[in-house]
Amino acid sequence: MLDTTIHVRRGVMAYILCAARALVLKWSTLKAGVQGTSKCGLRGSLTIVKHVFAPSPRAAKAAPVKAAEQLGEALIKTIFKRQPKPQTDLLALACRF
Amino acid sequence: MSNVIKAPASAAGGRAAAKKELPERFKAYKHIWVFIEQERGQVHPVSWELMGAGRKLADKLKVDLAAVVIGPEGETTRTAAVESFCYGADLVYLVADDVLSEYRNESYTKAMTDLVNIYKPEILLLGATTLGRDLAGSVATTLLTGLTADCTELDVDADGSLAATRPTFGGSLLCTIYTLNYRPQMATVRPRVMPMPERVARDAARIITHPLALFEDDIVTKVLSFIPDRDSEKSNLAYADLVVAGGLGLGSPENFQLVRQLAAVIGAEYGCSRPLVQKGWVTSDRQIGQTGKTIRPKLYIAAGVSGAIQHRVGVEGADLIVAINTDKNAPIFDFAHIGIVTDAILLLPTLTAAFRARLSPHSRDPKRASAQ
Repeated sequence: MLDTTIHVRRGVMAYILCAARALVLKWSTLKAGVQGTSKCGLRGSLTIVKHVFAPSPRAAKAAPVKAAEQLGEALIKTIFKRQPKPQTDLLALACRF
Repeated sequence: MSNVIKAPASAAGGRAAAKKELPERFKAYKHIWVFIEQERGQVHPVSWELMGAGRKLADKLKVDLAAVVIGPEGETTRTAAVESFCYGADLVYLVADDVLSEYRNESYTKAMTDLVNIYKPEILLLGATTLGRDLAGSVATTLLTGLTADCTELDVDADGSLAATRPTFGGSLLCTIYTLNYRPQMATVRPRVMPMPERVARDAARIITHPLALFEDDIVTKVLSFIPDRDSEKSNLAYADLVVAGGLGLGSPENFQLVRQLAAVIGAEYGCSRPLVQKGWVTSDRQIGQTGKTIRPKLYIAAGVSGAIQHRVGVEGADLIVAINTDKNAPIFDFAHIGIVTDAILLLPTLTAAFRARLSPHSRDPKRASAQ
């Protein structure tokens, strides 16, 4: 941190290693046997990573519940409209008490 | 299910893409096996879930689905073998010996590897439970084959290679992994990731019994006693039909009480995302997600949960996901069915009160309740 400021200066990793007189070995994806940046896994591995992907959003987006005075009740109605089974289960549960 | 994270269509073509022939010594490997995990007389439900997944793969490959039952001699092991047919097995490989009465890595690995070396399956699936993970690792290293752990999706491509999809890079991405040049292709799947298949009563068909070529004196490990975990029965999160969970958006450990209250009113199990366990607000047995429990409830209410991929892979199988979050750009809205952009701390008490009113005695008439 610099004097009279609140600014924190962070070191660059290369300079930190240099200051610590650390031995820096340069490696490469080629040396590590990485077949491609879109894949991971090392050469000779029994398993082969064919591809890496990010999960896609659901095709049908989440249905928004509009804010209303009785939001809780509106939400329950929306839930039971989409999934009636819990309502039956809950009523059956309530009837037991 | 439409909501399960699917690998892109380009996932197919593992061997075709590699343009490599399967080594000659592995060409005899056929059929799909599922390890039926039983401990202390109980079959773990993940075994039946895997039978459902294995059945689909077997039908696609037009091969047999076999259950592998390993356990002590007696009625319980025999019952597990017979029950396997009700979950779609075409045949059962049975190794019954009193040396196998308690799970020990040496004896179970010996039983499984001997079976594999003799009968040569092309795919071997195990549950990613404590026992299954222990066994899968040692079987794979003994057989010198590949193992893909904690898969979220299993498929076979056009040339019959197993395409196993699992989270990678700390759960931020998914990857599809093949074991192209070794057999069997092994994979473990966590409980509740695959749907439970319907049990169809069937008579037992072909059971192939195989002796265990191992004696008690050959095993280094001795089980002196079994001490059950006192807390293991407390949470039934993985198999609950209704689950309410809280995330960091709740702001404080005191606010997590709102999640517990809603869960208590609707008879749900409660859970949380990983940050809450890391902060010590909730115990780890309640954690939902990649490093916690995988759930498959009929209704999942997530309050203040951002929905990182690590959490998503644990809840993707829920029939209905309701997300409450103040951030309209939170990832959870990408996979929730119902989204409410509001403060969960404000909504949870309202929701709890509304459920309580609905479940109060005067609302117990289903016709009246649905009309409300």
